[in-house]
Order: sequence, then C-alpha cells, then structure tokens
Amino acid sequence: MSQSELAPLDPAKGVWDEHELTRRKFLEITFWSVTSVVTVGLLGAGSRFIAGNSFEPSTTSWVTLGPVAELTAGEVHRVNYSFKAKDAWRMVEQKGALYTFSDDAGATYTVLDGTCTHLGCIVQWQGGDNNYQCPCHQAVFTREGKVVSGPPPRPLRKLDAKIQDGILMAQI
Amino acid sequence: MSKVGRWIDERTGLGGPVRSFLNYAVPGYVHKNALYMLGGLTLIIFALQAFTGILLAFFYDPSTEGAYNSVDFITYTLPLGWLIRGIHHYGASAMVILTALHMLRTYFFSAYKKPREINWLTGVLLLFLTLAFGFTGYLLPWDQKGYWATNVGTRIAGSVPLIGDALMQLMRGGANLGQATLTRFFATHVLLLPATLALLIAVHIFQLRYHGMSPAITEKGKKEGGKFVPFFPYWVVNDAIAGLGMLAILIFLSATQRAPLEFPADPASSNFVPRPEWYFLFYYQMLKYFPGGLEPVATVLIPLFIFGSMVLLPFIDKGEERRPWKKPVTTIAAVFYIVVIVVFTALAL
Amino acid sequence: MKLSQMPFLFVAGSIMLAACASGPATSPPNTLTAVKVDAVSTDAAASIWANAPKTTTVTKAAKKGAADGSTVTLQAVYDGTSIAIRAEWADSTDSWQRNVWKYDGAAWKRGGDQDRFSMAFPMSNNAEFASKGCGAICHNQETDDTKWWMGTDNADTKIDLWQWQSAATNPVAYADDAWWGTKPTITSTTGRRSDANTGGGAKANNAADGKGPAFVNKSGLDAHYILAGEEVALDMSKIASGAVIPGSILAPYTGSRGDVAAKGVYADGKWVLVMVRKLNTGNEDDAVFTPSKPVPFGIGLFNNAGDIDHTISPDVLTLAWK
Repeated sequence: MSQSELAPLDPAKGVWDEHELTRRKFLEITFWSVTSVVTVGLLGAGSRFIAGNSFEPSTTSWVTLGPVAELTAGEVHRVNYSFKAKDAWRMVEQKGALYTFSDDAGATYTVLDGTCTHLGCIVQWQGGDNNYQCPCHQAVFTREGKVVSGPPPRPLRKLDAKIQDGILMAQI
Repeated sequence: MSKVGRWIDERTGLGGPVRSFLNYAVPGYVHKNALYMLGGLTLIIFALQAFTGILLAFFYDPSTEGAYNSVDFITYTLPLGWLIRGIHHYGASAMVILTALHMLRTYFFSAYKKPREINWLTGVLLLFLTLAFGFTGYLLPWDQKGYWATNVGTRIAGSVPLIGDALMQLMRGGANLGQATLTRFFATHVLLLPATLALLIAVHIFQLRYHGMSPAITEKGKKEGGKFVPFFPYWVVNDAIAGLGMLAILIFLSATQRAPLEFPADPASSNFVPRPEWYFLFYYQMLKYFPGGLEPVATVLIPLFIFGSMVLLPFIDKGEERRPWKKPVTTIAAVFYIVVIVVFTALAL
Repeated sequence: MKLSQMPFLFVAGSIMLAACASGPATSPPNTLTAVKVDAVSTDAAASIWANAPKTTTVTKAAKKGAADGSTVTLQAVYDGTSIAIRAEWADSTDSWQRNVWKYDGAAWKRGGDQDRFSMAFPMSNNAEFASKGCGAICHNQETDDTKWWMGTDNADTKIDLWQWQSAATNPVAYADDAWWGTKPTITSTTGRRSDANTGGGAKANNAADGKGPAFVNKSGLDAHYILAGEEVALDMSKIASGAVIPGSILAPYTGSRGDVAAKGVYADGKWVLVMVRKLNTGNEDDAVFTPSKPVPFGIGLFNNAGDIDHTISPDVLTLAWK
C-alpha cells in the first residue's frame, strides 16, 4: 500500500511514514537476500564437497618389515614395506621404506620413518658418517633420529615396532 | 564493412564494440617501446597454453595408475605429441618469465598509480595464479619429479602455524599424496585456474582500456604522447611478430630437448632428490636458512609480506613521481628482490 | 618497433632459452647415453664406438657377504632400427667349460660353468624397477640361498632379460633372450621364462646311455665348442685321461629367443662384448626402445658362475639417447 492511497494527514502531524518500504525496494532487498543466501549456501556446500574426506585421520596398520634373522643387530637397515590400503576411492598397494636397527642383539628394534621432518624428502643413511642426511637442505640426523644440524624442527618419527614369530613389524 | 560483416553486425551488434576495440588510439611512446609488448605476449602465451592444454586433456588420464603411461604415450608415441606437450611444458616457463617481466615493466614505469590500482591488483593475482598453474601442472605426469616436488610443496603449506595440517590435507585431499591429490590438482589445473585466470584477464584488459595507457615517464616519450596509431593493425602486428618468435623458440626447444618425463613416481624410493621447477628454486633455497621453529618465517611471513607489499604498493606509493631514477625507495626495493631471487636461484642450481 | 629494440627481444629470448634448457643439460651419473650412428654392428672395434660416451659401474655382490666383481664399462649406439650395447670388463679367465664332459681315465663326469653378462629392461613403465633396478625383482628375503628367486609379483610387470653366455651362446653369436614375470606356478622356483622360439637351440651332447658324450667337433678334440652340423662321432680310442669334451651341440635359436645378436671376444684378460637388438622386435616378450625415451636398466655379471652367484650394478642405470 502506498502513501498516495492514504488520506493526507494534518500537515502539523507530518506524513504517514517517510521510511515506508516501497514495492521496488522490497523486491530489491528480497532479491539480494535470496541470492546471497543461495550463493553462501552453494559456496559452503561446495567447500565442504571439495574438502571431502581430507581430514580423516590416516589409518594405522601393522606392516611386515622382514625376518629378524636378516636384520643383523648393530647395523642400520633400510627396509621396504607394502600393504593393501585404501587410497581415496580405490584399493592400492601402498609402499614405503623405513630404517631400522637393534642395539640389544636383536631383542628389540628401533624403527624410524626416513621422512625428513623439515619438508618431507627422504633421508639417506650414510654408514660412513654414522648418520642420516637429507639431500634437500643438507639436514643431518643421528642414528637414533635426533637432529644434528640443518633446518628440521623435530627428530625423525619413531614407529611402534614388535617382533612376531621372528618377523619384524612396525605400525605406520 | 563487407556484406557478410554487415549481415553479422545487424544480427549481433558486435560491429561497433569490435571496431572501437581495434581502433583504440595507441600513443606513440607506447607503440615505439618494445617493453609495452610484454602484456600482449603474456596473453598470447596464455592462449597457447590453453590451446595445447585442451589438446593434452584429450589423452591425459588423471589416475595414479594411468597418468604416467598417458603422458609417456603423449610424449613418445602420439604423432606430434612431443610438439604439443613440448609447447605446453616450455610455454609454462615462458608464461612465468613474461608475466614477471610485464610486471617489472609496470612497476618501473609506475603504471600502478592512481587510477590504475585495481589493474595492478588483478595483475598481482594473475602472477600468483600463473605460479599456481605451474605448481599444479607439475604433479600431473605422476613422475618422480612431480610426486616429490608436490610432497615437499604441500608440506611447506603444512608448516603454517595452527592451520598448517588442515591446509596440507586440504591440498592433498587426505593425509598422504595419492589419487585424491592427483584428481584435485587436475581439476584445479584444467578447470578452476583457467576459468579464474580468463575472467581476471578480461577484467585486467577492460581496466587497461578504461584508463588508457599510463603516462610516459620520459621527456622524449611525453613528446610522442600527442601522436597515435590505431591498435589494429599497427600494435597488434608487433605483438604478433613477437608471438611468432616466441612460438618458434618453443617449437625449437620442444624439438631439440623433448619435454622431460622422469621415471614413474615411487613413494618407496629414497634416492630421488626432490627439486621444484626452476622458478620456485629461490624459495626452496631460502627455506634452508630458517631452521626449526623459524620455519614459518620462511613459509608464511616472507611470502605474506611479499604478497602484502605487492597488494599495498599502489596505496603506499601515491606520489606524482613516476620516474624510477627519482624514486630510490621503490627502485632499490625491486632491485633488492631481483638480486635475492637471482642469487638464491643460482645457489640452488 | 624500432630496430634498436631488437637487443631487448634477444635478451628476453635468451633468458627463456637458458631457463628452459637448464633442465637435463649434463648427463647424470649412472646414465648410459646411446648416440646415433649410421649403422650398428657387433664389431667392438668399429669406428661407431669412437663418439659413444663411456659409463662405468663397479659391480657389487648380489649375495650377502660375497666378493664384489669387475668394473663394467658400457657404451651404446643406435641406428634407425637397432641398438648396440658394448660392454667391457676384466676377467682373468675365459670360462668355456660349461657343463662339459671330463674323462678321468675310467668314466665321464659332467660339470663346469661359464662367464655370463646379463641386461634387464622393464617391458612397461614400472616405478619400482625404475628406482631400484634389478633389486625390485630380486626376492631375497631369506638368508637361505635356495629360497632366493627372481621375478615379479604382478602379472602386468614383465622384465626383459638378455643373457650372453661365453660357452652356450657366444660361439653361435647370440645372447639368450628371456623375461621375468610372476612365478608360473606356486611351486616354481623362478619367475624367469625363455622367449618363444621357432627352432634351433643347443642340444645335449649325450651318448645313448647318458653316461658320456656322443660327439666331438670335426675340428678336433681340443675344440671349445661343437657347432650343429660340425659334430662327428666320438672315437673313444683317441680319448686319454683328462680329456674335456663340450657338453652341448650349439645352434642359435630362431624366433624371439634369438633376437639378440652378440659377439664377445676374450683377449688380454678381459671380455669385450657387443649385443645388438632391434629397437622394436614386434615380439610380445621383448622390451621396446623408443629413442629419446630414457629406460631404466640393470646389469649382472657372472664370473664362471650361474644363479645367485653374480655381481650387479648397485644403482639403477638409465639408458638415455642423444
């Protein structure tokens, strides 16, 4: 209803409502409101969609690293593992490499993830220098994985390990 | 206008706008300075990238099992595959170089000053989008180089305080590099980035035409300011010749040095030394100097500072002076960055 | 645009060229670069080798604790249809007595081995082979030698194998062409299989009772090998104690198994070997070479030995093209 259809008020009392919402203004506000809500909704849904299951914690599993008899105590060994795991929507053979050594004649083993804690390059065991070196930014780690020099903020990740029927296993 | 042209114009109304676009009056100091061709060249290389990219998408298989073999097939088996992938591969480097040079030209000519701030901002975004193209495209062959560079690259994002892990997982589509990573890099590289870039280029060019060319900075140039030539064909011809030269260089490179394809990605390999593409090397080198807890300084603060100062530049440097030799602060700052980038890149080589 | 601005364009172009070409400019270590020649040949002394860069690799024992082997120097050339690979390594003896018959004055005994040189190329893109070389197919998780085997875990992964043998293949100028796949049956002890053949091949030089040789080479009793068609019946009256008679009658294979031509010459304490094969044989059991496409490969050296007793290149090698 517009002002013109109302009987004029006494001039002393002013006009009916100078802030009255016109039909045009109402439509504009409605349009922008609905559009904004839908846009925000679409963007929100889109963002959630894109994030997918990115934040699902990676599942841990025990992998076989090899018979203890092969892993002579005292030496650092590079061991490969592989296991079937889900990668997004498909099952694939996940592969990787770890470092392991035993300081108590093979009773227990220390298993280290060779992923440099700086930027994720793979460190290489240098038997001659008795340390791990990262080829990317020349970081050096001790045999036990502690940072000696270079940019890494943390020691190498230590994995849970166990020996089952003479086979060394680690939880990745 | 020809009969056919008139027929089309009557039905589309495009004649007027197209004519006014082509007849744009280019000032003499612009027409005679090759540095002004860099923008047009960047557009040409983008067109080439879009063209070769669309062609590559006809054969590319965005799966961790098939990606490598499809790129191998394109590179070594497909007729002219070496050429199309070669142009796309070397064109990526050319696009980064040209974007950077174009930006430097704009910077030293103070072309970002009022009223062209928005145009500078779209330019800054275009530069970062170009780098994002490089980063996402690197992974697609799923070879050792792309796999490990992406592993490192996403981990850099992971070093951002508080939100780092979330950011890294979002980029990877999970905790580790895998199929989800490849798919989202592919979608970003071939859909999201091109669409965004094309839109921004349209805004960028519209802004350019709306404000006209920025004023000449030399006395000689100012004298030329009164003379004009039509954009088409006088200026277009220059860019076209330069574009042809660039295409020739790209074809030459593709023919003599086939676009590289390393061996397929092996997550279990420990002897591969990751290296980013050459235009990220300076940054990669810089990360070495910020050990331990200082890492976020290199991964967050410095990039943010550079991006921030680029964004804020037109709002800080608001004076009338446009001659670089009269503005020591901006000139020295730019030279400093150039020297740092060159030195760090050289150190990393 | 004025001519005076051409230098700018030149500089920009040069920057682009330099930047783009900065990739694989120098040939990295462990890379064997094949160079293009007019025509390949099995002649190790031919002029085609003059410009082929040499790559050396110190071979390490495949078996834990065993002695390391010779340093192998490799070269490669190719023409429009074939590739030739030249290998040179020190060896104090020419071991030709593989599985020969030896007479001790009363009875014949079999025994002996030979020198061998192997090359392995993946038949399709394989990440593991590319980063680990032959180690990727070496199954040696057991300390027990007899449980050791070579082969792949996946039917889609096949590795081409060329094995040159000083006694069994060299006299008839080929290298045995085989391949590794999965174990044919669960009880198999190897994933190795010979390429298909359409005929030829060596035959055992056995008497009817299997207790001695049947033939000698017509050239004489001291021949190191017997070629098919040159065998003559053994005359026991001429045999004295200590006689050594080759254990097989040699003939090259026809078909895929015989498509690696090879010529090894032993002199001055070293073997010089050239192997030639078509870039693409068209056979299903062979790797295909595409010039310009780098291929990972491994080598194995057997000094008078077979099976696990060999030395290998410790790093994966790459065959590149120029």
